[in-house]
Amino acid sequence: MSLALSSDGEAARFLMQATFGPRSSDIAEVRARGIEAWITAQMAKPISNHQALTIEEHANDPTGGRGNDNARAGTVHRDSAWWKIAINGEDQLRQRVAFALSQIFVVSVENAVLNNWQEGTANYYDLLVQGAFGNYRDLLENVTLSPIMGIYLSHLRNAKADPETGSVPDENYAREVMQLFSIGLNQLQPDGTLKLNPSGLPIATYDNTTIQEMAKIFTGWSFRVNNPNNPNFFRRGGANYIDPMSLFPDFHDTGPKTIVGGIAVPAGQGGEADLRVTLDALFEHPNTGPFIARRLIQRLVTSNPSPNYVYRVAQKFADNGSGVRGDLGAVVRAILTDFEARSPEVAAITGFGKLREPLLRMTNLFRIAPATSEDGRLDLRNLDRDFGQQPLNSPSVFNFWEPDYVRPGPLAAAGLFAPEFQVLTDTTAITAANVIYAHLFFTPSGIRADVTALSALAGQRDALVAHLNLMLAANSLSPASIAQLAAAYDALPSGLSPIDRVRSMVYLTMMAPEAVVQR
Amino acid sequence: MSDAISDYSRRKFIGACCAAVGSTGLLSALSQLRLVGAVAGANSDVTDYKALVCLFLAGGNDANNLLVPNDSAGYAAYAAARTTLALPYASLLGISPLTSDGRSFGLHPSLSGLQELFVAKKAALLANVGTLVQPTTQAEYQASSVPLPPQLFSHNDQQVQWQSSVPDRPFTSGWGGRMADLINAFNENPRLSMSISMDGQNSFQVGKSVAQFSVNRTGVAGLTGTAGAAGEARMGALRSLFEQDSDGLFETAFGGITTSAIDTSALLAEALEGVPEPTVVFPAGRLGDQLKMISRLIQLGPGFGLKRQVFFARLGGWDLHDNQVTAHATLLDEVSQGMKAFYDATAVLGLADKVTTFTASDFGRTFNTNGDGSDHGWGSHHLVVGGAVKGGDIYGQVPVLEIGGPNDTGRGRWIPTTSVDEYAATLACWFGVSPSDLPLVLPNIGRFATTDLGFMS
Repeated sequence: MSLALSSDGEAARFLMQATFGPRSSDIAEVRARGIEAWITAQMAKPISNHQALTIEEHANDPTGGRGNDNARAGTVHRDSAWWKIAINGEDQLRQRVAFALSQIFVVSVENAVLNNWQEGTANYYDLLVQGAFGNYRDLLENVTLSPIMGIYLSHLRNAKADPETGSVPDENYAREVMQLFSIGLNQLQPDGTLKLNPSGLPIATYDNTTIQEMAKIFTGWSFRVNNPNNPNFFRRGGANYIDPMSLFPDFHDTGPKTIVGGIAVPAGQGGEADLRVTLDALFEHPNTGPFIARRLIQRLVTSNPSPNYVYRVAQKFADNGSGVRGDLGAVVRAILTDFEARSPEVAAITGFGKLREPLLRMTNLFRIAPATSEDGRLDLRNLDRDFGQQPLNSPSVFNFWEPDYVRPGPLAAAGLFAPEFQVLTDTTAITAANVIYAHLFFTPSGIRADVTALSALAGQRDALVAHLNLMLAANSLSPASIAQLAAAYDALPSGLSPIDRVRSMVYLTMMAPEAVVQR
Repeated sequence: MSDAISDYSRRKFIGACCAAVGSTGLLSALSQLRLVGAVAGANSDVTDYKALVCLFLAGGNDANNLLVPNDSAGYAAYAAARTTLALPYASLLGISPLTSDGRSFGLHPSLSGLQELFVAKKAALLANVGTLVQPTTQAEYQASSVPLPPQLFSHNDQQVQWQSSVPDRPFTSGWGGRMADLINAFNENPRLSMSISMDGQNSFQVGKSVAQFSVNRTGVAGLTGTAGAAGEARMGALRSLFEQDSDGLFETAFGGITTSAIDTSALLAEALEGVPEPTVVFPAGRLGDQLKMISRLIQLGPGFGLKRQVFFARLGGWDLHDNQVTAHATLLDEVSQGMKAFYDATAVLGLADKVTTFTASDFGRTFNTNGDGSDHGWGSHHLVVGGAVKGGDIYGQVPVLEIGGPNDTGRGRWIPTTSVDEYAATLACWFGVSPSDLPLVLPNIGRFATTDLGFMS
C-alpha cells in the first residue's frame, strides 16, 4: 500500500510533520514513492550519531568546551552537532522523532553535571535516536539506566533506607517516570480521555504510598563499574557518563514492595528483577499507549488530536499488527499516515494543527537556505532565552511546554490545548522574529542562512512568493496572505539588492501566521 | 488628559492587553501610541499607589531549612531528624519574633539580608502555608474523610493550585488575575496591563479581562529590521499579515499576541528610557535582574494610569532531591540579597510601604532526607517583605517538627495549618479588595478561619 500525494503542497505538509523541513528533492521523493514507502526507506537509513559528531566538533575547535583547557565537549559542540544533523542528516524521520522523544523523556543541561559532561548528554540523545523506531519497553529501560537520566532525576546513587541517618529512598524518578514518561496522573480510556469515578471525578493512577514503594525499586544504581559488589564504588566509583548504570546489591532495598496497579514485587529477587517487573508494569499499563500516542501526535501533527486519532495510534502501540506491543516505529507510521494527519478536510478545521516549535521554524529555514558558518560550527546561541527552546535545555523535566497548556483568551475559550504557546510571550514573540531576521541579514555567532539558491527567483515576484509558500508554509498561505506578500514585494524599495529582497521575503513568509502554524 | 485621548487609549490598550486581534491599525499606530505615552508620562499625580510582587520559588522550596528551631531541644530534634540536611547550629541567624510559641528560631545562614529586614520589622514569616480544599486535620487526612487537593506532591499541579487557590476545580484563572480583574477599575485608562510577568507565562496572573504582559528581565525587546525604507515596508507587511482575518484559531492568536507584543513593548521601551537604573545594587543573576526591572516598572505605573500593579517573578532550581545543602544555600542567598535590594530600592523611591513582596512555591519538602536531598512535601513557610508588612514576627503555626508527629502525613510532609486562601486574602485586602468582594478573588475563602492573618497593616 502506498499513500499517494496529489500535490507538492501535500508532500511539503507531510514533510513538515515528519522532518526538520522540506527540501525540493524531498518533495519529489515523497511524491514519487508515496508516504508508506518513504517512511520505510527512512527507517532503514543509517543513523546519524550525536555523540560522535559532538566529539568531532570539539576536536575541530575546542573553544567553549568544559574542563581545563576546554578538554571536553561543551554545549556549543553538542548543539552544533544537533543543528548539523537536523539540517543535513539523511535520517530525517528518525531524528525528528528523537527530537519529539527528547521532549517526553526530558533531561536538560540546565543541570550543572549534564552541562559539564556534554558527551554523555549527547549519548543520551543517541539513545532516543536509536530507540525512535524500536520498542518502547527497551527505550524505557535504556532511559532509566542511563547515567545521564540517573543524574538528572537523582536515582543515580539512590540508596535503600538507612536507619542510621533516617534517610529513605529518593522519590524523584519513581514519580516522574510515571507522571511524565509512561502512565500519567489519571487513569485513561483507550482513547486517552479520562476515566471517571461514580462521582464524575478522575481516578488517580497512583498515590503517594505507591511513590514511596516505587522509590525502593529504583535503589542501588550508580555509575557503571566492573565490580558492583564492592560497596565502596557506589558513591566513589569513577564517573562513567556513557554506559548504563550498575546495580550495587548492597544498596538495593530487598524488601517486598507493592507498586503501581497493586502489583506485589516479592522480597529478595534483586534489583535487576525488581526493575524488570516495574518497567513491565508500566509498559503493560493500559494508560501507556494512549499517553505516549497523544504526546507524540502533539509533537508531530496537532495539539488537539481527536480521541479517535489517539485511539487508533494507541491500538497500534498495543499491537503493531504482528502481536508486538510498544513498537514505536509502527506508532510513528500510524501517526503520520492517519486520516486525521493527512486529510485536507481535517487540516482545514479551525482549531487543527499546532504552533510550530521555534527550533523547527529555524531548521525549516536552514534546510532551504543552507546555514553557513564562519568557524564551521552551528552553535546558535541564547535560544533558550530568545526562542524559549534550545535542544536538551528545558527549564525542568516538564519540558519547554506542557501537553495540557491552555493559552488564556480565545484559544482557552475554544477549549484548545496549545503547548507551544507556553513559550510565546510578549518577549519571545519579538525575539524569535529577531533571531530569524538576524540569521538572514547578519551573521550572529558567525552563522547565516544562505539564500543564494533562492536568489534566482529574486526578480520574479509571484514565483518567489509561491516557492516560499511551498517550502516554508506547505502552501497553507491564504490568497489574502499571498496578496499581502506580493504587495510587500512591491513595497520594498526598488534599489534593494536582489539578495536582500529575497531575505526580506523569506523573513516575511516565515512570520506569516499561516507559516508559524503547522496544519 | 483629554477625554478623546483617554478613550482612545483605553480602547487601544484594552485591546492590546487582551491580545485581541487587530488591536492596532497600520503604521501610524505606533506613533499614536507614543503620543499617548507622552501624555501619560505627564500625569504622575497619583495617590494610593500599590504594587504586589509574587516571587515564585519553582520546584518546591525546603522551608524546613529556611526557619530552623534554635532552642537546644528544638535544634536537637531537628538535627536528629534531618541528619545529612541539618544546618550547623552555630550557622543559624537568630531572630526574635514578637510573638512566640515557646520555641525559638533562627534563619538559614544565607538569609542575612532578610534577617536585617526581619529585625527592622519589614519582613514577616508565614508558617506552614499550603494548598487546602478545606481545613484538614491529621485524623481527617488519614481517614480520607475530607477532600484533599488533587495531585498533592506533583510539581505542575501544585504550582497551579498555589497560583489559582482553587485546588478543587480545574484551572481557569489565577488569584492574581482575578484580583486584577476586580481592581483594574482603580486604574485610570491604563495604557499597560496591570499584570506584568518577569518570567513568561504563569497561572497566577491569568484573569478574565486583564491579561498578563511579559517583560524580559534585562529589558524590553524591540523588533529589529524596521528602520529605513525596506524596514518600513517589512513592518507594514508584518502588520497586515498579523491582523488579517483568519479562520484559524492558532493563526489568529499568534498574530494578535505578536502585534500586541510589538506595540506595547515599543511603548514601554520608550518609557523605560526615562527611568534610571536604581542606585541600589541588585545581586547578579536571574532573580536580581527580575526584581531590578520591577523596581523600574513600578515607577512607570502611575504614568501609565496604573494605581495598582501585580508583578510575577520566578526563580527555578528548588527541586533539590540531590546535592541540597550546597545548592539551597546558593538559592536562598539569591533570594535574600534580591529581596533586600528590592526593598531598599523601593525605600529610595519613597514607595516602601506601597510595595509588598511575598513568596510562593510548589510545596515544602520532606523533613527527612533521601540521602543528600529531600522529596516533595506540602505545607511550607513563606516570606512577606515591605513597608506595610507588620514584620518581625512569625504568623500562623510552625508545625511540630517530628516525623509521625501531629502535623505529619509521613516523612515530614506537613499538613498546612494556614491555607493559600488565607495568605492570599490578607494580601488581597491590603491591595484594596473589599472583604465583601473577597469570594470573587478567593472562592473557597469562606471555608477557612480568617480573611486576615494580621501580617499587613
